[in-house]
Amino acid sequence: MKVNNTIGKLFGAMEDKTEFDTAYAHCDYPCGIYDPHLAQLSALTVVRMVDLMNSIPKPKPENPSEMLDYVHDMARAVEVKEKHAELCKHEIRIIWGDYIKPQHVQAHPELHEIVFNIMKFGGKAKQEPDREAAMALLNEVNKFAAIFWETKGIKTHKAKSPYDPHEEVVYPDL
Amino acid sequence: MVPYARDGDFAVSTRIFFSIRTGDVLVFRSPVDGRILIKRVKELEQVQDVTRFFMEGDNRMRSTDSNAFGSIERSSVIAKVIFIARKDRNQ
Repeated sequence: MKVNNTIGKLFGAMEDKTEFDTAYAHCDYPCGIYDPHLAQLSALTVVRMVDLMNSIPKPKPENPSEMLDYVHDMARAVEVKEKHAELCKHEIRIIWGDYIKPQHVQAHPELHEIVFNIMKFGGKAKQEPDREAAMALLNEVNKFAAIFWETKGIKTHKAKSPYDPHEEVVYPDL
Repeated sequence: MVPYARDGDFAVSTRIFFSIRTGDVLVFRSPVDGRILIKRVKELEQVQDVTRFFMEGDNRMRSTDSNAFGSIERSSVIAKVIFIARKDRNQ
């Protein structure tokens, strides 16, 4: 439209002399895919790794081959535990930061504290080979998952994982 | 907000207005990081006697909007867009 072009030119000329505020229309790519399942699997993995670490046969100090096997297996279990505790925290941070909306927090005021606990227990699970800390992480992640599915209007149930460590997990009724 | 507004266009807006309706385009502060955003009102939500505005970009595939950060409150709204003046691309 001719009038619009003229006004556009006028604003363009003014832009050099005046500072206009900039309004943004888009930022990152919204995939819209959120699911606490990976965080739950990661927390279960942390529990499983602590169990494995406790079940690795203790080596005889005088047997270098046994000692090598022990250190090797322990190192692998510790590495997996570290990675999954961090992955669990990462997944929760993404859902909390990108998906959770003010009205969800209004409906579930305990949500921020649950996320805070997940960060703390995730850190503790990395620092110590402590089953209690690993279970505390899993329990908080399950609470988060139950709230997440409720925000989607999807009911949940609790069941023991059909694989080690056979601990309770919140599953959506899909 | 393509095709309504493109990069560099001028959103001529007013801070004085009497109502906000579905379809209006608003300039507002992002509840996530405080950046100034421009989006269209998709829905008016009534939350405990307070009206909140569900904002959505026209270009849905490239828009981070109320679908990501939730509806916004009246105090976040800066201005209502009156019209878009196209930037002169030959300038």
